[in-house]
Amino acid sequence: MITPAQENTVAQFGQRLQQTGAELQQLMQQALAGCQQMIAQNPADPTPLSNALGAVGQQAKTIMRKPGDGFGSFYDVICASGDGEPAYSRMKKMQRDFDLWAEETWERFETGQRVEQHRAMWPKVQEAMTKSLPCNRCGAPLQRANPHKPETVNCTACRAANQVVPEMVVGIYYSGMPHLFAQQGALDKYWAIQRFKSEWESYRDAEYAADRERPEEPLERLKHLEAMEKDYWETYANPRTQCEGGTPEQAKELVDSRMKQSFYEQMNMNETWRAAHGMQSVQAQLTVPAHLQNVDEWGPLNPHQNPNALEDDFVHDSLLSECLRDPPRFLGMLKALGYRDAVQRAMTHATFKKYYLDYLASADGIQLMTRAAMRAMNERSKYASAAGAASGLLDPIDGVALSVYANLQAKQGSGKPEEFTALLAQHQMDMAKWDKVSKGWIDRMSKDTSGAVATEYSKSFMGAGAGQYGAAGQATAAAMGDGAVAQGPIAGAEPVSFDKYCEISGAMAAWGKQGKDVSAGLDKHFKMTAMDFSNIGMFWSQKMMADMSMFQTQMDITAKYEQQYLAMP
Amino acid sequence: MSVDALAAALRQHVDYVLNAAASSPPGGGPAWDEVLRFYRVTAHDAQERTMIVQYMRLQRGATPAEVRAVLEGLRTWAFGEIERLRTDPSIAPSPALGQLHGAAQTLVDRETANYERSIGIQPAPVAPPPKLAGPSVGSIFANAQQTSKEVPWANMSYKQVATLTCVHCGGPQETPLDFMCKFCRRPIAGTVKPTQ
Repeated sequence: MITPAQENTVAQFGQRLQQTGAELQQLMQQALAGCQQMIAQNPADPTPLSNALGAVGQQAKTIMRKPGDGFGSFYDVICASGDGEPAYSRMKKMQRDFDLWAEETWERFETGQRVEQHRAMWPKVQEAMTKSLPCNRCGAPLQRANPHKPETVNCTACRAANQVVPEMVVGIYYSGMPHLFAQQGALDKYWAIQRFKSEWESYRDAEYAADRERPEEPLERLKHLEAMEKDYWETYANPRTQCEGGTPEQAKELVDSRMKQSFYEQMNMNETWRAAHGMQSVQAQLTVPAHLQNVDEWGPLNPHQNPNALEDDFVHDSLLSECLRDPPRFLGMLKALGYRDAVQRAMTHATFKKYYLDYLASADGIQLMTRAAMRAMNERSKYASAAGAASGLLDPIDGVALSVYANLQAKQGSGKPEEFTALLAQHQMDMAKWDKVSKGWIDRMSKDTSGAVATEYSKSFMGAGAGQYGAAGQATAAAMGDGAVAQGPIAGAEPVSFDKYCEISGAMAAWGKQGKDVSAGLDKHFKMTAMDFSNIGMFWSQKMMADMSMFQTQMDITAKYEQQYLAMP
Repeated sequence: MSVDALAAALRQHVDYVLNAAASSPPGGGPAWDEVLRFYRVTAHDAQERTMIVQYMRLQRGATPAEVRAVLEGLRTWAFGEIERLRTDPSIAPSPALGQLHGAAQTLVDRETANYERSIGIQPAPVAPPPKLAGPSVGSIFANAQQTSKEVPWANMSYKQVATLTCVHCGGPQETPLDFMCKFCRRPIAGTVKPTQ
């Protein structure tokens, strides 16, 4: 039963949502004029629009967050004047509906502007693709077959192999257009899914507000959701793959990988779904059966023989929790860690908790858990790499290993284009093969949910030692070894001081809010590139992982510099 | 670190902080001071703590302001980790990462409010929404237009066509992906490096 005072508060909250909605629409109205002018001024370069949309997007997100940030205050007022649940449920639905509307409105606006930019590019793209290019050796015109991507063309006059790359506008267009056009075409289906999910959440809240249990989502709804998700990803993947010149099999691979990431991994944590698919419930996997609850079990971690057993137990807990979404991986991890089955693991963890709970609440215990979390990150990285290697995920693409690809990628930006062509030749590649290999690795990275490809890539990228802070990147990569966190001190000097690192971070945050180009700012103010900052960032983030108190200092100093740079014209 | 592991670690820290705060005597105590030291947050002086305890009529628990300071530190740590994950192309598009970022953004207010409720503090009146304090939309577009011309590669031009010439004899490459010079039978780029 909602009291009149609560009705009043709910109405106030509704007004707050309306005000916020109006504020968001006003922002987009102002931004629309700016976007249109910007597209007209830069028909061949989407970077200015992208920077501007990034900054306006931050303002939009700030506006969207306002009702959520204030929600707690309204809820407190409601609770002060009676049973809070019915009014809370109604406010929660209002908030959820608002969030959906605001996010959808903004996404449609942003995607629409980016698509408009690419449409404006098309005449320039067409012009560039029909332009005749002469042979680099004899000047005879070249006959191009695929003017939208790198290719090697033999001159019909002198037979020299000419490596031809598209004009910049063509490259930019084809790197953005397939995703954007496909995304715009699939937006209706994406937001239909979000509304379907939101409706269920509102129904659950309403049931709870009526003094009933929040119901589990029935299997029929989950199956319907599965069909909606599949339809959405097919609507997205088919035109995208077609625009990229891919095959129907590649479109299917994209759908399968996205379904795994966005749907099946979540469903593998859903008890209804698990039961329907013959999987043991998550809860059962983590619970000690009643008849074994008083039995001590140390599994592979006997503390009388292993002084690190307690820490190891938390490492195992973290590693296994992360695998729960993927049942085969969970079983594999159990075996790899030395457990007979999930029951033995549950008993082991329960035994540790039984004997060490008080210790874990002490400062030493907290430090132990922090150490365990760090170790778990490294262990996870090692297991992911080993599994990736075993499954073929890290196998070379077109004969090019991930380490070679990452190493060349790191060097691509630091020399002249002709030097890179020569470097590729040393690795038996031309620009066309490089383009294919590069797309292959990016594609594999985007479909890999274990993170193994990205981890191996970033180590080789840093290990290349490219750029003015390459030595710091190399030293950091060496300290990380085969883990994700430095396993010892990082050799060598600081690339820049901690204060300077915070200053650069603050400046970048300010530029992002102001619509200023980050690469231009890094060059102008700090004489460095994005890759230089990446090396610096990796060095300092590893230092901060070793001393978590530095995060607070970083926040304070970065915020100070952000204000300083925001005040600059 | 995966998105799930980060979310779990963040939750673990938050639960620990809130439990430690709520089980402290009014205004805090030695155990809570230990927590503050661990998270490198400076404790309020005794006079301020006493004032807060009296003013807010705290029956138990550390001061909400100190709890907020610890949560702010955790939020910064979480943002740092999220930014690191965003540089990973296999994780960046994940909706879970966006959700975690959203949750981290509201973490301080939400968890401070939860903490206050848990120790029985009366709700504060609803504050008016803050005014948007960012650059004007006009200046954003002007900045974007101007600075995009200042990138180091703004006026660079590159040749669309390149041919490989043997570093030993000067002969041209004639067969695509054949990097042995057909004229002098040596590696056209001077050397051959492994690709695996």
